[in-house]
Amino acid sequence: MNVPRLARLYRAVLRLYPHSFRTEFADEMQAVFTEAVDEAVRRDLLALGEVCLNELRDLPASLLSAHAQARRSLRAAAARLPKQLTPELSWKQLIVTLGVFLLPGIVILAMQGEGRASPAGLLFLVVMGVVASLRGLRFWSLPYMGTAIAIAAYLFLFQWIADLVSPSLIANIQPGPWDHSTYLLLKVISTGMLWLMLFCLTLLITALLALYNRFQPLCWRIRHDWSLLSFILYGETLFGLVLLFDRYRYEWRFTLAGLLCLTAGVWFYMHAARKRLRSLALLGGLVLATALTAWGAAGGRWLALPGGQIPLSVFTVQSGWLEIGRAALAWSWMLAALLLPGWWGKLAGRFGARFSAGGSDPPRQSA
Amino acid sequence: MDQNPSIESQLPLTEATFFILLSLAPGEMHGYAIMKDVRALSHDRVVLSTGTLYSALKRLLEQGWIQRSGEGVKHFNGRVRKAYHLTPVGQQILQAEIGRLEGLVSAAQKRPLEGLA
Repeated sequence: MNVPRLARLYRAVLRLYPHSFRTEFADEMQAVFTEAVDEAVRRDLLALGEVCLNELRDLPASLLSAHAQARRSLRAAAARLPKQLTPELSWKQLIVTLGVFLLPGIVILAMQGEGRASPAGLLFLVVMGVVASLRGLRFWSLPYMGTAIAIAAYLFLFQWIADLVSPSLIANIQPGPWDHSTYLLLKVISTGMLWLMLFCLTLLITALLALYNRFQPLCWRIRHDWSLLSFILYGETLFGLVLLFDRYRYEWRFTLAGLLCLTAGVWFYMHAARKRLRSLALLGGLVLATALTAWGAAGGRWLALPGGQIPLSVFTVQSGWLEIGRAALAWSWMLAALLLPGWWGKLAGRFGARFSAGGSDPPRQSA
Repeated sequence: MDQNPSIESQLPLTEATFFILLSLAPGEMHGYAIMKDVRALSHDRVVLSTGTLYSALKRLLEQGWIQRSGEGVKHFNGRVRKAYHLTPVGQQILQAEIGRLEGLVSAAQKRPLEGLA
């Protein structure tokens, strides 16, 4: 039996242990195993077989033990993290955080409404998503995570869920066979399904991330400040805003203004010291953004933005109010989705202090 | 025996932990020597694999029962060896466990065992 080959095999097995454990003990374990194998080879083949079988027999238990120890250490380290989880950001980190909202605006400004689904923008989103994952989803990456979830859910999940409920119910909602109240009810349900699905999906993804050691600090922070979950959902409202403007190419100025409002919401969120102010910042950005969306969707007939030339002949009074209603409906569900984490945090706090930090806001601490 | 309550709460020890502490009682020892010594002390009953040994050593280091002997690395035949030794707390734990086991044996010896084979 080739001892170096066995040693190489053992080295590969060592990679199953947690990173921190390997850093501390891998060299020693390798040396001890090699020494044990050397001594066994000098005796006989049976002794060598005994050494290898002994290692194999104890491998599952020792792996479990090592991973459990690593997890306990991570949790202890995460518990020592400052509860205030919007750290002081450098100007670079600030720009990166705002980037997910500013980039579509820049694209829209450059193309003046044409070619919204810019491949460069999507590529930027993918690259930022990979970088964010490698760095354990730091604070600045949360809106990117939200936007990515929204896009992926819309492309791959929403139609499947809609078909699951009823193909005709969702795909064919339009005035005609139904009266206005039924049509309105169906629109409420369809819009609500989208945002509730996004909220549940975000919760599910966050819960799954908790299984990985790399994302433990993030999950711990979310448990102590549910407004972080709202921050992720805020990134999803960006996609909702773009969808609302999907049919109207000439309202790019309103879209741009809406994006700037969302960006302002993020700015105030990052600079707010208290949880309530952070939530208000996000809600304020959303309200302003969707108000501008409704304005633009209605043809901007009450106040035109500079340079705008909206072909008013396209709009009737009825279609204008319809689009305002559509924007208001989307706004209501987005608002509900943003508020849900806060309500959940309060509910969890009532049932056990271990689910929520509760109490007064901790002081800001630097990153 | 008047023992520190916090030490009593750590007992009883598992066999592997007991034998590792026992093998370090005379002085510092490196990993492979601990493996061989544990096997000898237990008359081949406790055979530690590298995974079991180093999981236990990590736990004992975190609990403060053992320490590495300085940061220097000793090289024998070109191989890396780090030695470990008992801390005062580790010595107390080991003594407490030996006292507990002696108490069990003493209780058994006082009881007539004619009925047992």
